[in-house]
Amino acid sequence: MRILGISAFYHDSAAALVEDGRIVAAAQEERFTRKKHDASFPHNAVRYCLDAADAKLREIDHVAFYEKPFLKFERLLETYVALAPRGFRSFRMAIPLWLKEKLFQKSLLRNELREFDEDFGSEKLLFAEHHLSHAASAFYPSPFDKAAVLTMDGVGEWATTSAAIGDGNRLEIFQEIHFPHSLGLLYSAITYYTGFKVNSGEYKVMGLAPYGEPKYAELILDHLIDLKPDGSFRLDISYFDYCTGLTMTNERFAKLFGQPVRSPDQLLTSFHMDVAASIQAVLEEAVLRLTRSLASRSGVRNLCLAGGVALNCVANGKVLRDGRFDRLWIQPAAGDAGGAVGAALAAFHQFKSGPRNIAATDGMSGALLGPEFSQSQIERRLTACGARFAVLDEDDMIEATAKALSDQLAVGWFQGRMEFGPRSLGARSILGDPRPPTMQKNLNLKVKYRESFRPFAPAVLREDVADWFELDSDSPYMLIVADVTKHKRRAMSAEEQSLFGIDKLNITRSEIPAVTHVDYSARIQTVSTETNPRFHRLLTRFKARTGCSVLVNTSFNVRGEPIVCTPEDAFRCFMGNELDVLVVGNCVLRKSEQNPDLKQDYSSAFDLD
Amino acid sequence: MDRASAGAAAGNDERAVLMMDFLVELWRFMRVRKKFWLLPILIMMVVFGGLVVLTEGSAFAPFIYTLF
Repeated sequence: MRILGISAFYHDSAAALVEDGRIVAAAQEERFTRKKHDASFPHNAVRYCLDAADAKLREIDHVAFYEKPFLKFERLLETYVALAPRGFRSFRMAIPLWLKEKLFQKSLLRNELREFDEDFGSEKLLFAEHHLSHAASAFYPSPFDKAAVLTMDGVGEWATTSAAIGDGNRLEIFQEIHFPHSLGLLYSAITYYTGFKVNSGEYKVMGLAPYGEPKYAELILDHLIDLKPDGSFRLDISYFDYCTGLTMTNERFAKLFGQPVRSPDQLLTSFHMDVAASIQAVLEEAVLRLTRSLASRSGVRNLCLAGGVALNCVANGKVLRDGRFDRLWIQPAAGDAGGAVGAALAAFHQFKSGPRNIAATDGMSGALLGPEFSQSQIERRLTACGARFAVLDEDDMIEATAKALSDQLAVGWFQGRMEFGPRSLGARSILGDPRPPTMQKNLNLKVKYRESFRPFAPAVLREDVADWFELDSDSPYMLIVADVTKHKRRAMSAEEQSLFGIDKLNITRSEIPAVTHVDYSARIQTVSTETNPRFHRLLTRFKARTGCSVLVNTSFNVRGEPIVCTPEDAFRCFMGNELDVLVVGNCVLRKSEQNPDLKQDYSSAFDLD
Repeated sequence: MDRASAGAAAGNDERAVLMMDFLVELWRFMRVRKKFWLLPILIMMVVFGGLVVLTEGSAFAPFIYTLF
């Protein structure tokens, strides 16, 4: 049985194809349209999924959508009625959109899908609840037969947090916390308040947090969120504007913290760092209380996480170290894009009672579920772009890349199937040597064109992870944060210790400073031969040359650009920033050998995120 | 009946069927959710919604605002 999953119309639209419970393909629409967080119907992603399965839409048994529009509309209406007459401006903007389009999503989906099959009938359409889609995306691909499942995000229909138990092919949600009380929205409110974009800037708040002190955590707990011992919570919505207005926070919120909302071009001060540290501390406390109560109520020792809040890898690391669960598995596409996978899996296992085959590692194939290009396609496409490249055999290509990296060059690495989810995992990555003290700043400012405070993530050989980090379990999706081991750290002088804020960034804190945050933490990706053999070979080769089995691994894009999808995207990005070397399949391109006329002004090509 | 008008008639029939499907589903939804108090609001909205769609929004917008 083949089921196509779709998430769309809010943000990060995506499609996924599931064949008898096995995830065959999944991709986000933004990668094809080159529009970050593209929310439109995922035509390109659907086409890709069908092609990857060599199927026509008429051969697909069901199409599953990741949420229930009527329930969402009910939430909107009830919120407006409950808070009337406040919220009229928001109502005026939202309702015409719903009446024109969103309320009729079934016909909208049917019409869009008729592009692929003119006889497509709406009887094939299924709708899964938003949090069931998240929970299904977390449990069914996990390597566990039985597990507790926790999903946390901004909001779906009503639920913002849900707890479930997965057992075999059954998944039962037994507790929910409803809108407007939401950990995701609380974090997004601080994201907005500190001057970052909601729905994409949350990572920046998490990255900023280690520079500050959690001075406002008590204030947040006293006024904004009533956090109970079992992890349940209520927000005081009189501080927020998202129920009725067009912003996240209101005047009262700003008064509480004593400063107005930061505008994006305003300098980040220690105040913003302290606010970021405070919300991070509160979030971690809330998540830990939730997981502890879930552990004692469920009695199971495996935990699965999904929903946007599950992308907070610092909190995930604390859950793992808390020890209430033996094993933790997090859906790599934990945000709404992953809802496409979850909806399709829920349709197969829940609705159709399809059996579940549990994969030894997991069912996500290392998240490498996107488009790939053969060597001949790559050569043809790069030639058409005007690229000058050498074609090497695999060993020489690995050797040349490892040498470039050990020469401290920035390398674009494009191999095999594209990743599904927000992280680059060694298929569409920019790689660098983590040892030079200047690498983090150079990559941020010259290659990625993004804020210099943002840390980079390390990719490390799975077998060597415990040598470098205080972690000895799998973290294949870069979703767990742990500290650099003590013997790899460098002691700081008294003068260095007295620095604060972004000044800390320039201090060399370990043998691998480019991936060591100011609090010694690192967002780790473990690389194994099972999921990513070529990347594993590269790391092994780099280790042989340098003694270091860690590489900087950051997404292959510039700030505001979706991660590259095709060899053409990779070449454009390569010619638009200061990457030194690009490796696409077995083709090796050096910047110094390229036609200078093909250089692009890339620094302002995309809207900042 | 020529081909063009037959096509238009079929399109109208299909739209009517879709709208009927939509209303049936909405009714079932309210029954399951026990949210009958939403009915008057929804009827108003669906009626005006139909008009918004027909008038492509802009010309009709001020009329809605005065009512809400």
